[in-house]
Amino acid sequence: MQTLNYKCPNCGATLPYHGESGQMRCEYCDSEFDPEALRQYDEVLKAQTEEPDQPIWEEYQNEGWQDENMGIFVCRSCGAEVVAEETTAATSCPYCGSTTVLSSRLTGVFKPDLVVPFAVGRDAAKQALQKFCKGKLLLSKSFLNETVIDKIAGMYVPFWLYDCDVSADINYRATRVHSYRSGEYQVTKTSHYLVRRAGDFSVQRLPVDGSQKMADAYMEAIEPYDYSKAVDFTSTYLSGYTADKYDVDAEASKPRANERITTSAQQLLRNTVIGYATVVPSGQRIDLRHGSIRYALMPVWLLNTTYRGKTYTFAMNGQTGKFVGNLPVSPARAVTLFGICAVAGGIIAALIALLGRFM
Amino acid sequence: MKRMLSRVCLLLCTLLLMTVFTVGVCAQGDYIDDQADLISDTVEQTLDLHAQRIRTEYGYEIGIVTRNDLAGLLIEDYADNYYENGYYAWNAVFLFVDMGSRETWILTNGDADILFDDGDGLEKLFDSFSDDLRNGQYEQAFSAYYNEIDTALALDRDGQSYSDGYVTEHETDYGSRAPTKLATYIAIGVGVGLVIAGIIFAVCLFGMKTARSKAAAGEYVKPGSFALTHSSDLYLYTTTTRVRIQSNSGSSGRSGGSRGGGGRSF
Repeated sequence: MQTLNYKCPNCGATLPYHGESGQMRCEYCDSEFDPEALRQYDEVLKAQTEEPDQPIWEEYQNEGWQDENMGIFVCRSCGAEVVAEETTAATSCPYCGSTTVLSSRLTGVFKPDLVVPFAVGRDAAKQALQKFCKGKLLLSKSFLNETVIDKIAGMYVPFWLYDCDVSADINYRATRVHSYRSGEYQVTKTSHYLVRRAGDFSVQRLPVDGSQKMADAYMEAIEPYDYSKAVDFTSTYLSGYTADKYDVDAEASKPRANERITTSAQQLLRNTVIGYATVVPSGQRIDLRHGSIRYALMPVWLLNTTYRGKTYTFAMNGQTGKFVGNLPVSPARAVTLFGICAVAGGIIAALIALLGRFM
Repeated sequence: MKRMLSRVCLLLCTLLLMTVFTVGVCAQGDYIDDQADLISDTVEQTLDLHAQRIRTEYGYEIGIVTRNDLAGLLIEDYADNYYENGYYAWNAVFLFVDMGSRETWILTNGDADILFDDGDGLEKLFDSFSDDLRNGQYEQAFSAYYNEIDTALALDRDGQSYSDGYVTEHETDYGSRAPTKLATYIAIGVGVGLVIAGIIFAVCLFGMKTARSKAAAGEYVKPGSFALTHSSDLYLYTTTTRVRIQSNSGSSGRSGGSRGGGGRSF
């Protein structure tokens, strides 16, 4: 005969039924529980122990595409593969700045499903960099010079766009605390709850960059793109720009998409748990269904520069103009700023304390 | 660098002006904190001047705090919290009056603990104003309180005993302010300065590094697609803890160390 045991939610010991009180009583921590509440608790935990379904993404299919005007060229300096027009005589490699890009080797490419055309020109990119560097108290003035600004390359970066439906089910252990004074004692009552939230939502066109050479942090930082301006791909959009062939396929990009979608699911459900002093997730099940993938090219302005022996990369969204990058911190300016703020702040604080005594 | 200096100075001056106005609005009498509204503003100013004179002449801070409600605290605990949070001088005597429970407490610190707590000093001090306090004559009570302390400090300075049968043996420098005040202001200045500098530096540094990965995909959730399909809050159990509150009897005093005091009902 199969036996049924309940575990104490507080300490995990086996709970016997206490006939006199009509409750389940733990012999180790003296906690008492309503049998019906325990039954529901057990049911919820069982639902969480099942392994979630693996995210289901359809296989990416592409019929292949050959364009006699386009080809893959390998940079002789850094080995990067760059898609460019066959008629391009010379161009700067967007990765290493080398002017020797073209190679006689030619391979086929997958045709993108859509492309977001450039809406921001090279001049706007130059101005954006200058604006980005302005007002940065920790940036050395020698960083901004004309030679740096000229090294800007517009290129189409391959992205995988993920669409799916998400079902999330998350449990939380939550507490409410009530504290009061009773005679000579400070009494604190902590009530423990098992909170369960489940919900559905849809994700559309979550981008994950398909280029190993493009740092994911930069590509995610310049999001989002306005997909309403996306068009079906034709090679004419590449004119004047370079394009990169993907070297991270859709399968390899799925974990990143799954990770971001999972985090969104956790955030959406967590925002519905209110009115508790503490909330700690204790179990979750997140299913991704009806996944579909598309291949797209997104416009990016790239700038590489070397300053005092270190390379700094900047990226700008070629459609919206959002500019990102990591600027070098000048140690001298950092020390000066910190010192001035510390001294001034300290003097003001001391004056305030003195004023408070005499007002 | 000049531009950076001017920008930082402008920001800090703005903060200073804002804080000065705030402090001005919130500031109250230095030694008289009459939230129970027992005395008029005029009397409060007079008593405050008396306290300032004692401060200048003897180096003691003598204060009065009145309340209608102590939020459940014992009066001696309330007095300790008040004194410790107020950055007052080391040598201090504070009278606390709780109109809700009709209790008074005198907190003594530093040399005042020796001056009043040993012998019958506290009792004599209470006797000087308790009758007036009981009869609702608060102005007379508080004036008598200050006059009695004035007398005690004058006797002590002349090498005489205020408490019967007890001659104080301590060295109080009546000619100067308590030295710990300066150290306190310096500590405040250094600590706050470092914190402000750290905050400003962190903000500037944050603006220098903008290439960051995104943790979630909130921008790509289809608008209006989120639907909560299940919501349940299951009560499990309650744990209770009781902590005994350390306290002294309300009718007796305490002494020892540099903090002392005693209480009386009225």
